[in-house]
Amino acid sequence: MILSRRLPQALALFTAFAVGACSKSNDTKPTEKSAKPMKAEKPAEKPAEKPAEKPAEVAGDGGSIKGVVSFEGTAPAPAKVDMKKDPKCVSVNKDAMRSDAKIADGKVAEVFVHIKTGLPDKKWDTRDDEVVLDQQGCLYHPRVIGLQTSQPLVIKNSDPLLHNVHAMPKRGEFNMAMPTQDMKLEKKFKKPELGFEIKCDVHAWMKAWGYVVEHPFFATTGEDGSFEIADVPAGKYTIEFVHPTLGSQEAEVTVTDGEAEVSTTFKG
Amino acid sequence: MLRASASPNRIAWVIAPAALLLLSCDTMEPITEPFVLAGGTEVTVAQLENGREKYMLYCRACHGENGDGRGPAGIGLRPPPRNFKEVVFKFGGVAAGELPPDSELKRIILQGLEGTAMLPWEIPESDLDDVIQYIKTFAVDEDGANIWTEDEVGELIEIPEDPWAGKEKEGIARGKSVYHGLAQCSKCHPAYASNQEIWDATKAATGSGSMGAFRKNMYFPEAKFAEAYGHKLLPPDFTRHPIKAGATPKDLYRTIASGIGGTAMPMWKGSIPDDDIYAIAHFVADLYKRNLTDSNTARDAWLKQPVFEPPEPVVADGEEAEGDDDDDEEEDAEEQ
Repeated sequence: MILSRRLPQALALFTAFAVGACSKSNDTKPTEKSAKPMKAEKPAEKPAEKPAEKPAEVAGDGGSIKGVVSFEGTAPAPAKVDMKKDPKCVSVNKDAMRSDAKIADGKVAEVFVHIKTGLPDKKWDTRDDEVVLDQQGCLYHPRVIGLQTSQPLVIKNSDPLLHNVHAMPKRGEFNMAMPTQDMKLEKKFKKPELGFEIKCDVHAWMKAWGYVVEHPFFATTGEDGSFEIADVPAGKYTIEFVHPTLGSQEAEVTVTDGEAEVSTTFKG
Repeated sequence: MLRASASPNRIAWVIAPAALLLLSCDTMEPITEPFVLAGGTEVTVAQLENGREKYMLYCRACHGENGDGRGPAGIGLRPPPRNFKEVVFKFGGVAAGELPPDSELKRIILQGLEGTAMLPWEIPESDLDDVIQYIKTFAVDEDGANIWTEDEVGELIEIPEDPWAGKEKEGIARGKSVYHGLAQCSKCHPAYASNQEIWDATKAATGSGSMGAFRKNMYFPEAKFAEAYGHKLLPPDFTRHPIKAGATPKDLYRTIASGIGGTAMPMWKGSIPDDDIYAIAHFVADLYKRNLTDSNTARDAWLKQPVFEPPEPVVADGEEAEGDDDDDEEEDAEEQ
């Protein structure tokens, strides 16, 4: 057994010496590849960031952006979630049903709505209201998590069994074991990114999506498809409505004083 | 010309062109700028030049000239050599997913990764640091910025004193209970206990017996998809697979506590008590030392167990017996 454990090492060592000494020496062409400039050493050479678009000047004290996300067409049908691999999941959520999008009465829940462009280029205060991601009945609730960078995300395990919560943004991946019922932990995301997956490796059917932006002007739609983004400074904005399976839509809105309204409809 | 008498002259004729060929490798552009790490530490041009030279000597064959893990000797290796253009490290000694500090990269290079082509490399200390800094220059994000320049390294997972030192047997027994009960390791790794023992372990953990640690085919590991590597990975069966990052209780504590970057293995520090993590480490270290024949005999016996009926009804788990029946039917079908 020991030999078989070491065999790949021995083989690789042999190959490494046989091939590794100078892999390029047989090339007939000059090795342009090896003369690559070392980008990595010049962090200062970042491509110049696009000059920030100057936000359009709009007079007013600002206000809120409200609206409703609707759906036209055939809504994705709910299907039974097959949890057989974990008998304990079956026992806590025997008839689990799930569909690709939560749609009721033509209204879409769990759509992430945020100001995509038009905000002044500044550092915003961090929202400190807790966002909760619950693992219950071997499913995530909710499935769409909207957060500002550094805003606390509280992750809860309401199930009497092991989940791991594995968030996979491009930077700042984490994976935590949550073996006991009512266990809680807090996490923060440092970088903005839209639509990264959060999964449970124990239960492959469990998936949620994280949407992290640098400013506090976002919301996720409720069961009735409505949302409200509060305390928005006066301005002209592009709003993005984004959903993990329905895709993304944009709309323009101008905020002066009081309420501004913008709604959209996904088609299926 | 090439008759078999090897006079020193002839040998020189063979060696000289070979030496020239080797020298011709060294056609890299000179490095002109230092490299700055997050936190402001500067890696000098001289360090980078030396790091690159030693990288080409020791690492390039497998990890590739561009650090992409596709060196000529890396082809076909399973697991494949690490791609340094990305920053996913399995055994970084930090919370899985974070950037490992230099001390941990050194540990991996000096200790090697058991069962893989990553041997323990006895690189002189003076070169080791330069190689490590050079490796970092490969990781550039889509905006052209170096990730090691932008992101701080993770906080080292502290390894406490072994609470089971001097009472290892107790540690192993505790570890067996935690493995199958509190931590439910058998959700992915194989179970190494009978149905009754697993039931008792969950009872010890939660106060009431539970099917929580049971899984279909639980005497075998269950492959898990890893997005970071683009394919499924099989969690090790500790009685027959290599343990890559060290099989001592201390090494195992580190791996379990920090998790394994990019894989299904989560970080356990903070989720269960340190003493229990160390107990699992002792149990796994003991599994690793077991004789394969004994392990096979034990597994055969577990596989022949009758369908498990929970010894006491659990109010909230009324549906479990039915769920088990479903599973057995499915297993039979797969075997046919």
